[in-house]
Amino acid sequence: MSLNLKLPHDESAFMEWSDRDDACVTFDGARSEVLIESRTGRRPAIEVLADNAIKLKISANSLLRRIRIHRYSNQPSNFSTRLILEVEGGAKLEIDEEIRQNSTSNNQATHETGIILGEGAQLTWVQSGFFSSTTESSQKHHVQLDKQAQFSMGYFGMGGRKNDFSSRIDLQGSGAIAKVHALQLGRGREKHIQSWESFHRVPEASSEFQIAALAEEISLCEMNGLLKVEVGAEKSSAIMKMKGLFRSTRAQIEGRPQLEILNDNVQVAHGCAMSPIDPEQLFYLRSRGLSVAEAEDLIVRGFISDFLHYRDDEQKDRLLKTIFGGVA
Amino acid sequence: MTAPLLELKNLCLKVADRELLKNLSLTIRAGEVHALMGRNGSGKTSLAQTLMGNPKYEVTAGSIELAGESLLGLAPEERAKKGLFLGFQYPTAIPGVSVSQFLRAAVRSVRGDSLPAKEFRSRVKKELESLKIPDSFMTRFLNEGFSGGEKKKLETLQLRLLEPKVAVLDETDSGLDIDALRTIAENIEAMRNPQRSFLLITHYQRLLDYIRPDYVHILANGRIVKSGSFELAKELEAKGYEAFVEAA
Repeated sequence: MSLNLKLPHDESAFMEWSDRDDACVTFDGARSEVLIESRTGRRPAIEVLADNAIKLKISANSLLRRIRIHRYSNQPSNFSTRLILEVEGGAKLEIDEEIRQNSTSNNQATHETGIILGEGAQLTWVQSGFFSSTTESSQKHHVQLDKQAQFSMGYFGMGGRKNDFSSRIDLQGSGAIAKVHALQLGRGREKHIQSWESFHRVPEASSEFQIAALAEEISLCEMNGLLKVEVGAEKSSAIMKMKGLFRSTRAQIEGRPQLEILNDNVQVAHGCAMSPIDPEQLFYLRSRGLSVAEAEDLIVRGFISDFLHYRDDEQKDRLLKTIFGGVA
Repeated sequence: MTAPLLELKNLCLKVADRELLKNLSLTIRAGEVHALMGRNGSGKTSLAQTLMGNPKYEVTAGSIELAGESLLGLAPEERAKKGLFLGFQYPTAIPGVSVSQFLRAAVRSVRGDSLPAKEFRSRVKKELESLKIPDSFMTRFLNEGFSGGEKKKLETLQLRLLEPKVAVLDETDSGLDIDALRTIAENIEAMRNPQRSFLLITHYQRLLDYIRPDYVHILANGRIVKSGSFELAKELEAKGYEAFVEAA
């Protein structure tokens, strides 16, 4: 999987940001438009390309620290968005992104994101995807890291009839660091596929993946991963761990972490562990007065919380309320 | 003489077709502290887990009563609500669940009251100080990455917050340094009162130097082979288990 990180139009699609405050980018599926706002009310101009495609460029001297991105649609029609984000060297940025497709008719959601991090740039990206039971979604990420760039991602996804999620990270500059924590929740008859790939092309870069799935009822969650270390990527460090929790005997989780190592002087590891709820954990909580349902609920909340990295308490509470539909 | 608070009669127990306890009988009255000592594999932990209702263990005969009411057939959570507490030898780690979150849920479930948040925090703070536990403990995930001593302190913290009628403490002294042992023992000792009873399960006399038991029992091959006063623990320390097992 690879996105073309160049849009078919000219440089006018770029946007230079220098606002001091937060910015919010909304892909509005109902109106077929992209809105960009800042808290001070200033609306930086941006040219929106066809098919909800935009490219944002954060310059090295930008004071912008945080962007909220929303990709929302409640329309029965298909919904596609494409975002290319270029963060120049030295810039430091957080992205808090939410994707929602609430339509109750059969529909498809296709969302693509390309990220280019310049030398020493730092990006923390928190993404949550919520899809209705009639949605078939496809998400593609492609991240390129230059020298000393740092990329951290916390992904959470739930809902959707069938979801195909793929992410590719290219470590193109030495000293680049990528860290990913991802969790997919499967319910009902849903089918989810996560694919994570990391390509080490240069020396002394590191990548770390903690990928998880929680499968309920008769859902199927697949986790695929590939760590590829090229010939010239000596002293690379790469790790991929997958973890699955079943809440039903009919739920399925498949984990396939793979390695392709073409250099001997590297530290690489992968692992995969799947289990139902641990009866010893259950007994421990029950011995403290919690019913089976309460104990299971707490264990599951714990499993989820353990993967909600890069989110503050408020974000975690909001997410848990969305998942459990009640008190966080 | 007060009525029995915890009474086991002719208890037989098995797990995976292996017989672990054979006609074990034990009566603990209100206010009493009993120590149960035995070698590895003698059945001490199996007894503790059975009392709390671990579904892994099957009671094949006999009875267990708490304040005259049978515990057999009751779920672990029901036993906890009736005032039974088990301090685990190896408390389970639950990633993602903070100590604070867990303690609130446990106190609410067992005591049936919903302590106001402020009152709960103030009570916990007091207990943390008493157990020499830093405040940062509360935000850590339950037993995850805890040292042996931290785990036992957390078990003791729960004991103090839940205020049970009967506490079964399974090797609370294992994995503790001298200072931690003293701190934990003093906190347990401070909970002794005429209404509360303890069953201390241990290999060694050292815990009993801090919490003086009224009765000491030696468990071997699934049976209590000898009972006596605190002097029996001293005798055991001097002679070793072998002498008692052979004599039985």
